[in-house]
Amino acid sequence: MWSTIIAIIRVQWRVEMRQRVLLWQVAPFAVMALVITGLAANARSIARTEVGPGLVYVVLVFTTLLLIGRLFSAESSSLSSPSFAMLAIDGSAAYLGTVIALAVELLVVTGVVVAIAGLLFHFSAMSLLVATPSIVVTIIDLTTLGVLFGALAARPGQSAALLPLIALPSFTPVIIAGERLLSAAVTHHGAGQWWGLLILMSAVYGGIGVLLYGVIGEL
Amino acid sequence: MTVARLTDVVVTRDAFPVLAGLSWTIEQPGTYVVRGGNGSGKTSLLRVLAGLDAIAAGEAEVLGHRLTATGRREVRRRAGWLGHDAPFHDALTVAENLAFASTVTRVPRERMADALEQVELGARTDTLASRLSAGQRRRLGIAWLIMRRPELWLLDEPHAALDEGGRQLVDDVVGRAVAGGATVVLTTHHDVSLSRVDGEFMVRGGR
Repeated sequence: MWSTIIAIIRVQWRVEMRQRVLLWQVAPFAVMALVITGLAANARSIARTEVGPGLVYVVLVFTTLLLIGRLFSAESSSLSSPSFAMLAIDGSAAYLGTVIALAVELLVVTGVVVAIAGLLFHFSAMSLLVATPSIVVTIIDLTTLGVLFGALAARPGQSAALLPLIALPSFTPVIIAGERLLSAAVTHHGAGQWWGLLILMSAVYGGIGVLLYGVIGEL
Repeated sequence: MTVARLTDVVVTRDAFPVLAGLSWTIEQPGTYVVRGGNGSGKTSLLRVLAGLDAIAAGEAEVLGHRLTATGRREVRRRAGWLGHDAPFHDALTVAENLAFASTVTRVPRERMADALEQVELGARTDTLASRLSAGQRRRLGIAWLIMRRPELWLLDEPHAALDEGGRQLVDDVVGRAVAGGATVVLTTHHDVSLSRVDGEFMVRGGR
């Protein structure tokens, strides 16, 4: 199983290194979305308030959807092709490999977004350092869910609009928990109770994905 | 052991029956040719034999597995497919594509060099799949089948997009696979020049 997971991760990263989708499409989108959101919301007036973290997560959610939509639309022809299905790849391994590869890519973009948000909304370096673990877990949660829904939306005959429609409601508790923890780091308040929800969702969503990803491929 | 037994098989796609009560039995390994016009159900028949499509009615058993969800997966592990689709990732090289496929299916990677030589792609190992011609992509698909050595070869119009040399290559590979004990089922519109054909099946209107 691990050899399959590693093979999938290596393929995805190798494809990214050659196509540079993250560098030339996803990261510029995230930065532009953040800057435009900051301008629209008047970044100076919301500096050091709880609004900034919320805007950061709105941008990260749309970036996640863009990256997952891009992955599955690019792969959909091969993922749904008979030749790929004939490889009979273990569903759990395919899911975990895709989640790990994508989560690392998203974390790279998140690092850029959070750094620029720090400048725009005057987050201190120390508060961002404190928030880093919660940001990492939130991105992992978004990826575990997103990959599962991406596979559902990529099935033949499904509309591309299906992904945001089914993913956004499920992202909501993750975004709320992540935003509360980032806000707590920025405003120096406690919000430890949200950690439980984030970790619980990682376990539940990850477990569902491992169990169901292969089943989705058989539908 | 019977290779495949299909009895009154019905397969629907978007509520349309692409196979409508088809019955066919392949008793023993060999070369079998499926004929029929466009849209007659040739590819759908191959997809059932490959374990790619679920059946809506009837009975189906391939390589000793009933075609339930679990059975279909087992069939896919033991069968090989060559179709019209691009079987490999465009952003990976010839060698990287075969290495990935061999890793996830636990096929020994040592078979790669010989397989690529057989399909005359030995000098193209570092070429991106996107830069291969249609005929070369078809040869790459054949190379993967040579590496994988499936028990059941399912070839959907294998001579399409190939030049004279490529068509001869397909016939040679099919001959070697059957000599090794495999079963080859191929669809075609045309006359075939295979040295040995053990059976033919005509599909008309999904039957």
